[in-house]
Amino acid sequence: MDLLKYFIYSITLVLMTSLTSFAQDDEDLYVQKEVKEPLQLKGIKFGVNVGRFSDFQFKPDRRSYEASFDINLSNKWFGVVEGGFSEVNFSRTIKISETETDEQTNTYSYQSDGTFIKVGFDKNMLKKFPSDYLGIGLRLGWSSFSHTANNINLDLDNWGNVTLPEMQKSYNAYWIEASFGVKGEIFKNVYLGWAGLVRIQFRGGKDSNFQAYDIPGFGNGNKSLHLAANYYIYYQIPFNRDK
Amino acid sequence: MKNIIYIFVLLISVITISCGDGECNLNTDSLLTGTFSVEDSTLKADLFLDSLSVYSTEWLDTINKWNLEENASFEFSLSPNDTITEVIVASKATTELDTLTFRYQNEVVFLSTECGFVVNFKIDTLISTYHLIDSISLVNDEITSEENGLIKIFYL
Repeated sequence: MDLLKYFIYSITLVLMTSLTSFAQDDEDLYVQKEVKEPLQLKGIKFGVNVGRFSDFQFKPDRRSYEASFDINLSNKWFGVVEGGFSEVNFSRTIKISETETDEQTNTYSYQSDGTFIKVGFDKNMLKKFPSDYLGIGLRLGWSSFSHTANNINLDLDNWGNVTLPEMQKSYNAYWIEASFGVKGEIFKNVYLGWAGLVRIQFRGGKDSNFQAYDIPGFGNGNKSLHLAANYYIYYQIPFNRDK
Repeated sequence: MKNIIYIFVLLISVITISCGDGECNLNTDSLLTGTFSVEDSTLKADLFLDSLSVYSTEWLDTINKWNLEENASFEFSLSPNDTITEVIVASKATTELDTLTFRYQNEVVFLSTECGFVVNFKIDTLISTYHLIDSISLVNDEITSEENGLIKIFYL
């Protein structure tokens, strides 16, 4: 008898649980869809890549500057244009061999300069803190630059010190850049942000004889895949800001 | 949230700044290897093979091959500023000289910032006189910093 009671109780419990679930599903059918608001201009942001200023201390051979301009649409989508300038200037002395009485060295000087521009968008994935940003972005990058090597001296066993003629070439390079980053409003309308970047070069900028040391805006010319980071300070001119 | 951001910025900065240039670990010499081979060591080559010299009028030094053994070799670079290099093979035992004339193309290659520039060569023609030399063979006409070119010089 106890067994029968237990069986009925179990069946009742299972049925009630199922009915409750069905009722829940039925309610879901009537949940109102989120109404999409039209995109609204929330601000125009100007930024400077402050990470580039570390070159003064840590890469004295290089000077590069980068600035950003973006259009904030409802704190969700950002149309972005970034551009800058880069120049490299250094001389190298390379020890080839060394004996007690003699040392063989090759030398050269290298200069490059060029500009770059990147156009794309950012997508903010934050919903809770709409004035801040945590999201992903995509850019199309283009760089135009030239580089020169001169004072190329080779110390050869048979020929002694040989000076080679100056080399000079100009290039265009194109790449795609994906980013993941954050921007926080540290003061009113002033933002600090960083982003991790993956750049993939897909056209130009390659030369089997005279490969560029640095492609402005892209990085090391020897690699087609480049990982980088940027650090920006922005000022936003607000429009239609929520009270 | 903002503390996490700042710490991450600091870490990324340190990682980025740590990436510096290193030393050159690549070979920067583009050399042509020549080998001397004797087809029959009992013949007249015996007279001069142990006292061979290789030189050019433009070189600083002469390559001397005393006590030459079979398949002994020497290495030199073609002129990086020219497309013709003449090399003379002489023997102390005789006044007869042989001249090897190389006609080639050269290209300057930027290996890397650490290693600088090298000159690679592609030999188009090799001409020789045959006073002491019996024959020559251009085995590898591409001379790069990664792989030497190769000529074989045969004596009877």
